[in-house]
Amino acid sequence: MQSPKVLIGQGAEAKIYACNFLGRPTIVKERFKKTYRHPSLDSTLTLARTKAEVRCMTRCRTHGIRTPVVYFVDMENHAIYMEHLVNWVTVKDFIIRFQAGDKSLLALLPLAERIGGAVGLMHSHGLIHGDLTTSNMLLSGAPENLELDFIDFGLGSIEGSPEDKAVDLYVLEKALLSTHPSTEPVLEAILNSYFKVRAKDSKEVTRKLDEVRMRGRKRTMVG
Amino acid sequence: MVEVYHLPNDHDLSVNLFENVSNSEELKRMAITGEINAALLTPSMVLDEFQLLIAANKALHNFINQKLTTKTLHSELLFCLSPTRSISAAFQKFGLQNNDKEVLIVEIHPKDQGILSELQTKVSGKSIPLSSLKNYTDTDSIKKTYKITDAELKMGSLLDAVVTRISTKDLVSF
Repeated sequence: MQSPKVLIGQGAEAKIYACNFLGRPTIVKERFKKTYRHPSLDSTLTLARTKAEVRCMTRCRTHGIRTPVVYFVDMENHAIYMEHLVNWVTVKDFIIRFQAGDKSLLALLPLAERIGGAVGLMHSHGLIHGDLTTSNMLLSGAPENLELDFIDFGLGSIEGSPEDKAVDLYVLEKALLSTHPSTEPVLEAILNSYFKVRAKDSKEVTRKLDEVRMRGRKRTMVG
Repeated sequence: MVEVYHLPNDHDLSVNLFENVSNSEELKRMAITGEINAALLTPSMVLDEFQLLIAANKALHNFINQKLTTKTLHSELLFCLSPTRSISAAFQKFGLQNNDKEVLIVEIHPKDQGILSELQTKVSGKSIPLSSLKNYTDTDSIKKTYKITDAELKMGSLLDAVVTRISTKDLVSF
């Protein structure tokens, strides 16, 4: 039975609903019209974004990176119906609770390795997430057997360049360090694990990452 | 027996599995003439009713929005199940073949207006519960047809992989 949609979130691009669809708990991501745009342009752009998101999510799956299963793409309403991972927690909440519990950061290293490995695998296939924050990574299972799932590929793309990958990593870096104080060791473990994947363009990505770091906000690019 | 599942837009999906079928060729003919207004599927390519629901939802959506690729709602269901854009390939792979001894009859209909129970008399075979589907499912054929990777099976189920292909067929090439 399809239950009525319950609004559970809203971003700049879309409204997020939860419902029961074809007997399964489902998330519906519905992109809304941007009335300030010309209607035909808006439609084309929104459609393109929806397609890119779905492509990126499903490509990740074929390479072994967990993302929500897509149940239905309603192109007429720019809506993506996907698996609702109920009872999974965000990496963000996990780290917050972890740090509140006052355990050694060392215990977060296995998770960091998983994250680095998964992003490395993603990038090695040219897949760019676009918004690698700890809110967009979900966890489930016992600490020894954690399952990691990436969500919200709304800014994602395929065929990413070393620059795109560097930016993806930089977003992850900034998001991690600003949301979770003193997690530099976690970041280091993520990046180590990422580069262990040994993609052909690793050196390029490293170079670009240094460049991008220099760019950031409130930084003068001198030298 | 007929099992009924809910679809959006006030429609239902009715499913009936038969074994020891001796008149597959006749049933196919009846489907073509319209005497049987349902989809006749080979159970070997069906893993779970959820796979049918995902395809049926898409077919129904296309029907309602007048975006059918095939001629009818039920041929669209068959087409939606298939990972390719070839209608004939879909029928060959997923549709009932003349020599098949098992058939899965599927009907998409407005709520409470299903006719599958009436259709039972036309089938020379035994109606069995859908739970017996697994006896006829050919997982190797499914993996091959849907081009499912080992990497995918390590982090998700076969059903997850199949559903992904059905739902994203128009947008992603696998």
